[in-house]
Amino acid sequence: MDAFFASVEQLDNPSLRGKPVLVGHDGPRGVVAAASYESRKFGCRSALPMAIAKRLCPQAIIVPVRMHRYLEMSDRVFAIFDEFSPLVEPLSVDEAFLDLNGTERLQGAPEAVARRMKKRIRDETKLTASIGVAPNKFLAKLASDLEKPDGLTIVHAEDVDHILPPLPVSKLWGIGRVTEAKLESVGIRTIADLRRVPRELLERHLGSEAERYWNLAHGIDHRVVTPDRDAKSIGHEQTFEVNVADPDEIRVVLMDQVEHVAQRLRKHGIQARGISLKIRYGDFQTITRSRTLATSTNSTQELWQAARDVFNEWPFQPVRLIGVSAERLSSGDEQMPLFTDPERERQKKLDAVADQINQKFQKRTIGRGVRPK
Amino acid sequence: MKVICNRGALLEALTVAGNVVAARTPKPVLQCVKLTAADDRLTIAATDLEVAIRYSDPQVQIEQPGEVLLPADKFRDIVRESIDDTLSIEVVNDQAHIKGQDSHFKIYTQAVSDFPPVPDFEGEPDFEVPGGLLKQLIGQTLFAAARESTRYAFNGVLIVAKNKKLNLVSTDGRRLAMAKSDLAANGKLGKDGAQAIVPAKALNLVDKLIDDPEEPVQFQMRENQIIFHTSSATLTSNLVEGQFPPYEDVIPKDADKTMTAATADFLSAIRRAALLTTEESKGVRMSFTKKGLQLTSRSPESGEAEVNFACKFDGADVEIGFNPTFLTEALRVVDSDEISLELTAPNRPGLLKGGQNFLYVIMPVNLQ
Repeated sequence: MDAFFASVEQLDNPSLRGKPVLVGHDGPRGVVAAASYESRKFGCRSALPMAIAKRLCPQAIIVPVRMHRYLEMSDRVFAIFDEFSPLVEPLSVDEAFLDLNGTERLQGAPEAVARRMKKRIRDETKLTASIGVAPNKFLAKLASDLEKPDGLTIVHAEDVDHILPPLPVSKLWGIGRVTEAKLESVGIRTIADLRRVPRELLERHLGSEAERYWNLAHGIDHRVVTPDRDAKSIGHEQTFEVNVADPDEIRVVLMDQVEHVAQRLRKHGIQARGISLKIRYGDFQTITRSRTLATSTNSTQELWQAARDVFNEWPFQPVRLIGVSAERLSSGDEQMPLFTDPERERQKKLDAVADQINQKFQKRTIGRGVRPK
Repeated sequence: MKVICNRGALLEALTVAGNVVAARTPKPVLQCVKLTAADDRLTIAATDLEVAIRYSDPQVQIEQPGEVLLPADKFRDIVRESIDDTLSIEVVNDQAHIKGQDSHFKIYTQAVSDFPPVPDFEGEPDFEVPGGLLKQLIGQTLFAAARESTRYAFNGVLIVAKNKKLNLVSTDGRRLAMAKSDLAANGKLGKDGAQAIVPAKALNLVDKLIDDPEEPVQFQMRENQIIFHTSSATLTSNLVEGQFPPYEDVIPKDADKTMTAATADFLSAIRRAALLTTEESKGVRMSFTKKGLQLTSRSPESGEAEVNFACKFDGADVEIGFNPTFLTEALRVVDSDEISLELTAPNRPGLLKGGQNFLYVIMPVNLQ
């Protein structure tokens, strides 16, 4: 989706349309969560400190993050994805991979499918999406970024040798600032540079990752599209613009994440046997803590209890990132219980009703709250 | 204290007591056994504060009565590794001297007064059961109890003594085993009888204590303890707290389909069909018709299994999934050559019966 958070804000508030909009906290330590295309002309982009963004684009209108609303819109967009492929791998709230293999006879050529999908998204949500169509995940993601906003880019296997070489190495999946700097220090700036380096030399600079990057540089990527139902874990995480010092505030976010994860589990008839929390503190120390559940479950309440217990167990410090994921997933044969657990039955009904309501209105109409501790 | 012991008998006593000794505990005293030499016997006592045992070893010669507290594992290792037929144990001040013909071990003892009291069997038993029968009742139920359920009552076996009947019941929430027996006499039990949930660990030990099937095991049931007594040992256990689930309500009474088969053949058929189950698809599909039973299983990675089992089946055709392990575990403890499996519907429990006295309720698996 194009400038997703900012576009949703412009959609909800017509006075913002056509104007530079920055989503994020307007404080000394605030960070831009999303920048509208109008503001990008001035150099604004997400992850930029708000203070710098304001200097670049003083006329920008700054609005706070409304994650709940974005998740509602995200659900609607994902519902559209599901219409086009049985294999949808969510990448974030506003990005996904769709495997169109084997759908040609039913839906026609991928380019036409992409066009129809863009139209469906625009009609349904009034938002624009950029789509990349390519033989693998790496190229598709790359293609989707080439003609933003409202883009549609097709990359054929034979295009690889003229599209990739001029691009900077940072376009390769997994190359971040550190690796980029390391490569630059030995004179590798573009994908063309990287392609020229002998494999052995590349291995010396990149270690075990060398082969993967070499493959990507040649447009080779064997990863398959993994939908939730085949995933090893299903999770959500959120980075805050500032360190959040109030544990209750974190609990509210955590509950929201658990609910979203539990819904995804139920949607695919998956049960989780474990839950894992990722917490990054203000000092950037990151911990991951897991817990095994007594029985497999996809109940919001049971997953929440486990997540909350793990969270409460650790001495609280201001938090920069919180994430939760359901693990040890199974969708196999389900052993029925001999004795009904009245509470479990009640929760099951509650979840089913909430799912129905949210499905009917295609958004997160109903959700749980957290009682302050 | 000074005693001369038969090494084999002492080792047996220490091995039994060793099952009670706490493995990990913040109280080091619980990793000891207490030896008491008196009345022509050596009594070995151990406790983990949940289960306590007194085991008496008569194959001793007491030179000087007394008592001592010794570290259980070291003492047992010395007795096991020794090569003598007899060992002498003598306590001098706070040291125990264990002597064989060519060996002499000195172990530091701990203060006997620090050891928690280990109850003895006093007074009349509430009732008694022949050892062999109790062993069978335990064998037919203990396996179906849960190990680490958060519903504590599932981690024990319910013992119900009432109206000259003794029944044991266990469940892990997915299957339930019940073994029934007759009591020769009601003993001291009142009209309402008595019932208690006994931890799996304690029953496992009782099972090990029984070696003569004819010899009776005596029971005393108290408010929050149960005491078992054999000629050589007294075992006291705290009861599992919590409410045992309403097990009588889940025993199917309206089954309208019945399979009958030879126990060993049915067991073999299930074991073969289960060879291609996996963690993901652990159910075996069982399709019952007039012609018999077809068992199938499927493992997404490996392949498929099909076993056509000739058996008698009365009632409308039905297809149902079961966890094969739950069935084989029960079939192994059935003591009759023929079993029956009563069914109602694919989402209702099945009832396995073996002989007059064994019932097993098993909840199906929802096959994908």
